Amino acid sequence: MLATVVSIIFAGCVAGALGALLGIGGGVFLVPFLNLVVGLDFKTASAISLVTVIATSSVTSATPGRLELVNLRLGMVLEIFTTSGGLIGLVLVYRAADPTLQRLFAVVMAVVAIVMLSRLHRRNIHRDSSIDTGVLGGRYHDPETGAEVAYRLRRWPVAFGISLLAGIVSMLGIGGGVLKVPVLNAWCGVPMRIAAATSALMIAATAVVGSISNFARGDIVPHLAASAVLGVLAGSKLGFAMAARSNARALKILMACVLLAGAIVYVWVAGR
Amino acid sequence: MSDKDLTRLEHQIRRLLRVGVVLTAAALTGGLVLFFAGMSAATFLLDAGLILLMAIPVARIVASLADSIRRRDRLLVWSTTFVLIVMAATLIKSLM
Repeated sequence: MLATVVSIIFAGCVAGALGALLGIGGGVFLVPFLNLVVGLDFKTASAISLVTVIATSSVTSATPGRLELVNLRLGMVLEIFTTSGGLIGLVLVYRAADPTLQRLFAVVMAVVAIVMLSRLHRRNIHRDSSIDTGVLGGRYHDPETGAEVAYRLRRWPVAFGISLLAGIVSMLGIGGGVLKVPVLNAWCGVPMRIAAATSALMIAATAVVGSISNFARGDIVPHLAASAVLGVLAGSKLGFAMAARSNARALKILMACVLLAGAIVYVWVAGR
Repeated sequence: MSDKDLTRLEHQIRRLLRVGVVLTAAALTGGLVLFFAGMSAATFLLDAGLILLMAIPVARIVASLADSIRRRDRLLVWSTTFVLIVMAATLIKSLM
């Protein structure tokens, strides 16, 4: 019992630190660890991981300098779609068998790996600060260039659609930011920093919808969830402290390989 | 929408997140210690910590709703209300 709790705290810590360093949630690492290494069944593992998403979101957004980058208006409107997607995701997850969910998770891991590899050079979209920001756009002060950047939301059906999809997928135990952020940045005109900070705050709302339901169903084992949450909180703090001194590029390549390997293991496990 | 209004909400949210995280961590740590000490209060503290954690985003959205009503920002009033309804509906359905 103690060994399980210690290993979950450790796993949470690693997932939290990696999440903070890579700018993604730690769920994509935590779910397979809880499921395959600790030996919890998939639904329990994903339910515990989903609770830690709330912790990651809260501790990340409370970090100095983050909340200034959040577009609260855009976030709230997109939350309509992520939470609705969450409801759909819950129904699907409860109906599906573990091997199906494991295969789905393998796909998610592979997508995360590809997204990470394809975005090794992240860049901000710079625009004239005099443009009309529209209903859901905004302005922010770019700390790198010192200039004021204005942006507006383009192709809003794409933003709404990807939010719905991210909400559905997040019920597998992840935040879903890894899907939303690149799309909002690449297709909808939202600067990278804004998309990341807004998504980080938003994911907690979706995670709450899933967690309320999972909690009532008894899928959240309290002492194991507590261990994971405490680990993630400690790991995130550690990750932010390390972020300034780490080589994000090398770490991204390494972790993308880990995720791809993990995806293959998952497909193999699900096929047995 | 003036910047001053927005930062006021941002300050509220930041304070809420920080207090929420600290209280959650305290309750969960205490609960885990009591769990291994074999004390029955552990269940209460662990559940309280998890419920507290889940309450953080809910409180954040309630704060956004209050702020949007104050600023008469209809789009935000509707979107926050919608999300709160989804949460409430999930809770009600789960309890049934």
